[in-house]
Amino acid sequence: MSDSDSEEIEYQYSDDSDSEAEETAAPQEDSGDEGKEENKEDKEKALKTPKSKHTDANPNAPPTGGSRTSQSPHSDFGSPSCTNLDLPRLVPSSSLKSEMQTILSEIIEMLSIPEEAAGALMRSFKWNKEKLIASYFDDPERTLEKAGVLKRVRAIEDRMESAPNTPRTPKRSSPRATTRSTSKICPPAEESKGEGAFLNCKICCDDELTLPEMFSMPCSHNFCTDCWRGFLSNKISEGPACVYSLCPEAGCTEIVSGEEVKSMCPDKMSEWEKYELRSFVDLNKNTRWCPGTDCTMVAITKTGSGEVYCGCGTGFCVKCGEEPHNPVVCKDLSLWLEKCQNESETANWILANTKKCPKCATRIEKNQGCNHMVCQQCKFEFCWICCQPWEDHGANTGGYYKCNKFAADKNSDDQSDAAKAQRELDRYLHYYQRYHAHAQAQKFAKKQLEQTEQRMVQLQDGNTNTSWIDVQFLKTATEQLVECRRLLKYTYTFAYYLDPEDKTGKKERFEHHQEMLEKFTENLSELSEQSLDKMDRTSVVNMTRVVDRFVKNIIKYVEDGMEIDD
Amino acid sequence: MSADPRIRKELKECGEENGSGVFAVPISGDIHNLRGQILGSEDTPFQGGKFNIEIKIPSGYPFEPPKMRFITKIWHPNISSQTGAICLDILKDQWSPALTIKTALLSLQALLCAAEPTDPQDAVVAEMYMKNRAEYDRKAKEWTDQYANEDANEGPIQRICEMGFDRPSAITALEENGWNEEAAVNALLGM
Repeated sequence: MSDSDSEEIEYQYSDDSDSEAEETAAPQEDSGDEGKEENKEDKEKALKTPKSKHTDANPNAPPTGGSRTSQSPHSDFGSPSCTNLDLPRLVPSSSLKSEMQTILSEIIEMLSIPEEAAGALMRSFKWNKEKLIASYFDDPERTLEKAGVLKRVRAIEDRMESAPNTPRTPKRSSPRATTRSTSKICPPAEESKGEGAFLNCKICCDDELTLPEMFSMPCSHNFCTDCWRGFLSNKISEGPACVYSLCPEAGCTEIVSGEEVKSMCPDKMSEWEKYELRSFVDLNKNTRWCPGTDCTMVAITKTGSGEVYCGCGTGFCVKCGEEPHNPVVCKDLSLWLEKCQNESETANWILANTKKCPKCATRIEKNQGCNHMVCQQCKFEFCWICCQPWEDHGANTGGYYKCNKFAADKNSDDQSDAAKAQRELDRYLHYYQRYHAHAQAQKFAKKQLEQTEQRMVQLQDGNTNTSWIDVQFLKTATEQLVECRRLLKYTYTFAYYLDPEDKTGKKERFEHHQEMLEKFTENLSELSEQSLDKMDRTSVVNMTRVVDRFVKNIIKYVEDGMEIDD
Repeated sequence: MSADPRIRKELKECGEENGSGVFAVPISGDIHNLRGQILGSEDTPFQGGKFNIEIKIPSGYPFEPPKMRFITKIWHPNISSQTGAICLDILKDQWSPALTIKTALLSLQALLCAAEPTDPQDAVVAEMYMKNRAEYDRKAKEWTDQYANEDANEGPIQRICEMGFDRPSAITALEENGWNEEAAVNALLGM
């Protein structure tokens, strides 16, 4: 739909101080530069690695404050051979059990607690090992009680102690002293009567039961086995919260574990384990389910942050679960999404979907990725973002791609609340319209990606000398396009939360990077949408590389704290 | 496992006139559909009041809590003045199968003595409780005298019972219709 003669001229854009410009003019030189860049990264990795390895080798060593890097405060996950410790891993749900077991084994060994109590302990600390350890060394009694495993731990310790030759660590305190706090709220367990005497189950109210018909957790609150089965299967049928079930006795805080389920409801054990694993992933801030439909992969990280691209085609941020959204931080993204949702009912939102041709006023809906519009009615060419003639965007006018810059209204000295609100709304709409435009373009690019394979086949068929490898460039370009649209979208969210009054030049510089990326993304979009007979492989390949460069530049600029190097 | 034997046993222990100040009886012989009553404690604005409670026993009982609701209108921060819905932890997540209908009713009686205005069911009542305690006491007593005074309403109850309805149904219908006898009869006749 768009075909611009001014393309060549746009390429020759030059800005004396800019390295990007050099690459634009001569993209072939890129490889050299990238090589240097990689070397630098390698060096950085090499510097980090020994430190991290040191931490791994001594998991029991006390933390030495400043010597630990902020990137590796946790040693929960990841094989030691992995060089980049921050990189999220994706594991299938089938290996979750072993992942969980690895962490549990560490905690069992470190705190010398019985295996049966470790899961509930970790759950009560949301799988934050450091917090659990700190709390446990501060007050083991209270930590165990809070997690509902105090009596379980003490009972097992007693059993170990009475058995000879047990390598258990010594008991920390008298188990009897610990029942004090709970005895107030729950009645003490009935002393078991001699054989022959009948027992009473407080659930079914049957008072002609014998000891073998009764069962209790380590808190010794006896109920008949039928009622236990009923109680446990009822809890499990209620869903994921079953892992927090407490003893059926009113006021007793002892928590149900897999042990009880195993002996009373073995048929429900697999369901119970499923909920245990689910709560492991849900509670743990270092893990997240892939949000892809029907996908059961889990991302595991060390720091609880990072971006993951799952094999099912879904990309997500481990911290918040949204689509990867750099350079915007999760908090700003959630504010932004909420804001957009609140404002979406307004007519402005509808206006963002359709626009009138600036010349003939025909309503136009944008259905392809490029911002270079050609009105089907009057053939007027304009920019979708600013509705100005497309020719103004060429180098000849010196204007380039200025539509990403928001110029505050001239009469900004009007300090009335209404005027301020109007200005704020205008400012929001400025960023929202551009955010929305790129979001739409991202959708189109994704659709285009789905059709790319077909186009590649056609392209190969149309040319006898072309191999399948030769047409890969089209897929690479379209993938790059999707990524650019995603990034551009979020650059507007990011810019919205930058200080509008910024005088340091940081914002201006950011907008410059954004402008460059936007300009070349439009070019790439146009080139890759060409009909196949006009497809120029070399320019698409070059443009893909150039655009990739701008993507890296803008991300690096933000990562480096937007410091302007002279 | 059917909970019916347990429910029957429970009902035996908390029938009318058991001396504890609370009781529960089945409506029309249905042991899953009970009418409970609690007496307002002395030295509270609810003193002398008889408060009727709708009790529904779910199929998951006793692993699930009984569903309770005040039928008698009551002015209390933790009970809706409109619907009679109750905010009490043991009727929700703190329920334990070792608790009973009687212990739940006794907990309700205790709730009338000690309100929890920080966890309110009725925000209007809770605000009055916090800001103007005297006015709250006055209004709670006024409602007790007006709605929870069965003796004063004995006449209409008797007349409806004479029409062939059982007493709990008659009281429910009257209470749900603000003690308007004609409206209550219409409701009972399904008109």
